[in-house]
Amino acid sequence: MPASDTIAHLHLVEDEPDMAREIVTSLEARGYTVSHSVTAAAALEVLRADRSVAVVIADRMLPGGMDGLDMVQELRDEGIATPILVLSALGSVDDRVRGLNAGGDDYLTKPFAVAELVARVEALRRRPPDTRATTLRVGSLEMDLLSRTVRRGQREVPLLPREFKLLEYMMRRPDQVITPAMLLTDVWNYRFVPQTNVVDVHMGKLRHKIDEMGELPMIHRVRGAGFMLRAAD
Amino acid sequence: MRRTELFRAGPFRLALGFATALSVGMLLIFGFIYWQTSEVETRRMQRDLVQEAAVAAQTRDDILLYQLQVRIMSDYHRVTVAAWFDADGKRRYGNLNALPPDLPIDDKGHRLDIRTNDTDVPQPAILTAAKRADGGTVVLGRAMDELLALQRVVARTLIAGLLPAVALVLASGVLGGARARRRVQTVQQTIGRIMGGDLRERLPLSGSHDAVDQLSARVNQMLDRIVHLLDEIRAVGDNIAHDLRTPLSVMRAKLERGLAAEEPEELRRGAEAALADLDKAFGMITALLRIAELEDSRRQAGFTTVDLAEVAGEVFDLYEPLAEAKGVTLAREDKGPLFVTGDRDLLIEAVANLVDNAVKFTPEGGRVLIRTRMGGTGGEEAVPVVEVSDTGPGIPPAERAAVVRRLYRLDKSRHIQGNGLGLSLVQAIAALHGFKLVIDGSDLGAVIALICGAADGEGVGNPGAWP
Repeated sequence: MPASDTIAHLHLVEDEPDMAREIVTSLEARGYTVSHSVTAAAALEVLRADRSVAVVIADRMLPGGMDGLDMVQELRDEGIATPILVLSALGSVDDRVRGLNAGGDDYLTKPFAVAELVARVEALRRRPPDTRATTLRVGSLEMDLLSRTVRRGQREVPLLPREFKLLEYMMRRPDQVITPAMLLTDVWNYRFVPQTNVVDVHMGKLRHKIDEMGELPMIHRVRGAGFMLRAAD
Repeated sequence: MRRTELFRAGPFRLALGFATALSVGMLLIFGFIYWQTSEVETRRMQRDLVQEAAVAAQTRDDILLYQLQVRIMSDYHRVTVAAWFDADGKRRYGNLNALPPDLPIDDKGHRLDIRTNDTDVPQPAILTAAKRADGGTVVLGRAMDELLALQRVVARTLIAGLLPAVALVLASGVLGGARARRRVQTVQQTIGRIMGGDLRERLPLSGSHDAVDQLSARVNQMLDRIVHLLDEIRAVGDNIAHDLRTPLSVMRAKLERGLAAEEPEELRRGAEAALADLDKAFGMITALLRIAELEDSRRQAGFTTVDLAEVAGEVFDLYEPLAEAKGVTLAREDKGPLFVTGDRDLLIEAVANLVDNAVKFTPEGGRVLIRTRMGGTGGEEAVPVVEVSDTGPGIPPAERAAVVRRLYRLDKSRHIQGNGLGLSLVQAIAALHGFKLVIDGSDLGAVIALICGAADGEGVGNPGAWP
């Protein structure tokens, strides 16, 4: 579900034909246009010429001597700021890959759900502006970052510190699908996924506080993907 | 047995060297004896003879005659040469018929082959001749056959002693070499069989506790360990196959039913359910890879000072809502900061897994306690401990060692969601830190502790090791 404004154009760098076909098909089915190259060098050619690419999805392991991470470096060295999502095999999530998350790019381990991939692409595409505003607003929901208070309309919403952080993350990304994995890495700063889905329970509690009985829901559960904060009116 | 192989065998070469040394030693000893008997004796005899001859040359005729007579008569062994010739070379008395032509008359000892009246063939002897004032000559001498006999005895003894000794040493070398070679051969054959896949084979021990035995014993220990590891891997493989087969079969059935269904909605439901099963299977693979990654990474470079109480607090916050939703009380008990050296993220992961398990296995109305404290390891020093206790069914003592194994799940927990990898993961994290995982408790609940001190061996299943 790309943002309503324009159709986003993505570029995939993946040498595995089956995997590439599946990713391209899934993304196209969700309304993206996707171009595809097999090596990092070929991808660099495309990206130098075509600045309309919104997000690059690159496999970490690529043939031809330059892997996905090298490609990120090369693009940054050339001053191309296109965000990149690196697909990494499970066993190869090392510190270099984790560093992507800090640098504004992101990584995703294979195998992944398409919903997760789309959520990450959207998160990269619509990176929240680095605002100095001290108040965040989504519909009737208002968050004061200085006094650390939240109001929904006239009602004050008492939140625990963790809940406040969760809501802040969501309010900076309204109308975006946010997956539990994103919350674990970005809000909790965890590198692992707990066996039980604890994030759901946390979100459930938060939802109860934001959407009280009789109010139109703002936090929505997106089936098979995660959650979304949307203005109720 | 090929000859080259025999000569290459250590014991044989040792024996060869020993035989050589023995031969050289014996030759030196016998050489000395030989030299003593021949040279020294000869010289002594020569000196005596020269002196006697000099005296005889001065002696009065009648006394000389008498002395020569006594000398010859008292010589029972017929080794004495004594003769007196006048100035014309005519014999006046003695057991020589004529003055030996090649004997210089110079008051010195000479070795000559001489035939006396008493012998038929010339025999080696030491002779000396002295001139008398009247022009006559006195010849005194002594046959050397005694000395030669002695020398022959010495040589015979040498041969009789040396040859058997060398033969004995070489024979023992051959035997020892053959024995060592047989042992090496057995070891090689055994190793061949082991390499052929028969891992139950063990190297034979002779019981002599020698170097080969000790080496074999170590190799056997190594084989035991390898077999143990292989069994473990095989068990894990079996478990993976088994645990994957179940969700895959269910998945297949669901998809099949979905395809056969009339309603598109039913197909959709089937596909969704199958996808959930697939995710479960992936989760298991993910956890296995994670454990493998932890076990592989022996690096502790990222270690910093971590507050255990803060870690416990973090996990408490993470699981508190879940416990509440399940109707389980999650409690915390700590006595201020408790610092350990480690990887904060991994320690959170470990404690989170312990709490995850505890909450999962504790029935509604139960209680899970996360406690950080100083505790003992059975030794003197108290070390930081983080401990998670619950009021679940507990872990039977007999199964405490098994639960940290990959994919091991207690029978009574089969129905509870989970991949059976939680404790293995905690164990892997503990091992990486050199910490100890101790499983204790009763049927009133499990108590699982991460002892954050130097691990002194297997902690699991050793509840008596700490208070």
